[in-house]
Amino acid sequence: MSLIEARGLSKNYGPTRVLNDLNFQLQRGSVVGLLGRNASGKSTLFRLIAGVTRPSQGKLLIDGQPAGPVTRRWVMYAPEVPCYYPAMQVYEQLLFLARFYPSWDHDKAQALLGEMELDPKAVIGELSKGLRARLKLVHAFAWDNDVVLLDEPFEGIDQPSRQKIVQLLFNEYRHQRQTIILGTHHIDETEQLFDQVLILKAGRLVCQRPIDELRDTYQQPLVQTLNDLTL
Amino acid sequence: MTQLLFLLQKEWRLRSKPVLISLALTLAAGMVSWFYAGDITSMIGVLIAPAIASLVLFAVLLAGSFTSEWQQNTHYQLLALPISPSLIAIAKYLYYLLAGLLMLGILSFCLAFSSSEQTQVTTALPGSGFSIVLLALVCYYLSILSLLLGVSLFSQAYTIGRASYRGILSKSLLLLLLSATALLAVPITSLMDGLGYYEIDINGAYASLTEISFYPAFFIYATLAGLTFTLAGLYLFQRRMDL
Repeated sequence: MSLIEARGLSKNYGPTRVLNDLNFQLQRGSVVGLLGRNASGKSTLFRLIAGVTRPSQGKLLIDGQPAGPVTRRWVMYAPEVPCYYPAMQVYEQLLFLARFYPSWDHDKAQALLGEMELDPKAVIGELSKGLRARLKLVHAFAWDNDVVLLDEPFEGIDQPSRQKIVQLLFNEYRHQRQTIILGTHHIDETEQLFDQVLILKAGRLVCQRPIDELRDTYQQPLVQTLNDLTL
Repeated sequence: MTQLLFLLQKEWRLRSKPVLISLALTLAAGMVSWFYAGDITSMIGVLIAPAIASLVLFAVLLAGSFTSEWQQNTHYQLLALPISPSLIAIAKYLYYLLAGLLMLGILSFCLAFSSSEQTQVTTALPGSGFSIVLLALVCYYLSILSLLLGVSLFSQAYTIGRASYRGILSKSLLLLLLSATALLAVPITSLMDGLGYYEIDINGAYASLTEISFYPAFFIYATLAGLTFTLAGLYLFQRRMDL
């Protein structure tokens, strides 16, 4: 049984149709690259899976349940924008989040803070863009969730640190039941992590295939395939 | 319930400064008044301004707490929490309601501090002098607080999620609803005239106050209007809090 399933999923904002009749299934434990150009509907799809917005048509099911307050218990959503309280210290912010998730692991959060070189006493408003991005990753991997939604999680993190962080998170902190959906423009650095790729173009799903199949078919880097499919 | 407490704690952590300052200033004004005059009539004269200011302040702060969540994008993390969206609004509303109750406590304390046997309260209402003054204070403060917080919550709920002109729209709606509530007050309270209208005369050691009235119909009207706006606002939040 698939963990995430979209059936005829559409989303309108006013008269504008942002997502149009999406149908896909994502398996538990897979790492999915959600790719597309700007305004292709990636962030809206993230919000729908996170259960923070409702579909205009169709269904989005997580473990058989419509995405919403119930499924948010096991779905972590890190939006593209910085969403943490600037007046709070890092540890206060994490403590606030931890109270809502019974599976929050304080030791793991502590270890992640160390790995991400984040000072727990630092005030969030004074953190650089890169350090705020690292805080999102601590939030994502410090508890035992089933779905991690990361919308441009590496923005602001320098390239050498990015590679180190990606390897660390996916090899040491991720658990095997976790389905991770990653929306990123750093495709060449994250491509090797993907099991499956969803490509959106103007709100339509133009590709949903396992990464190996995509490589076999196109015989070129993923970024080139993305360009070909979305131009 | 525990989730509500966590949200209230968060509000306290982020938004306690203006509340604490207003409470401290009111207490200080009350104590200075007591020190120099020591009389309930002068205490009422001094406290009327901070009492009214606190009512307006808490309603404005309630609206501002929603605005700041949206401006700082922190509503993303709140809406992603495994809680009902209306709980977020309830926590904000309760926070300022509790702030209002604390203010009411301070106002009552100051009045109690300055009441003396020299004070004479004349009214048709049953009860002793100071208890009548206290009852009037509690009824006025709570009914107006309920109305202002309710209207503030509703105007935020109605305009939530609007990308453009949200600030102007919510402020205009707030003024419009308050004006409409004030206009409707006379015809609706006149339907409850049977509940009576009681004048209260307070004669203190140094001055007298004769312009105070106890009007149950107004308290009921303002409280019910406040509750209606609050419930309608919470319903809208539940329906429309959507990214």
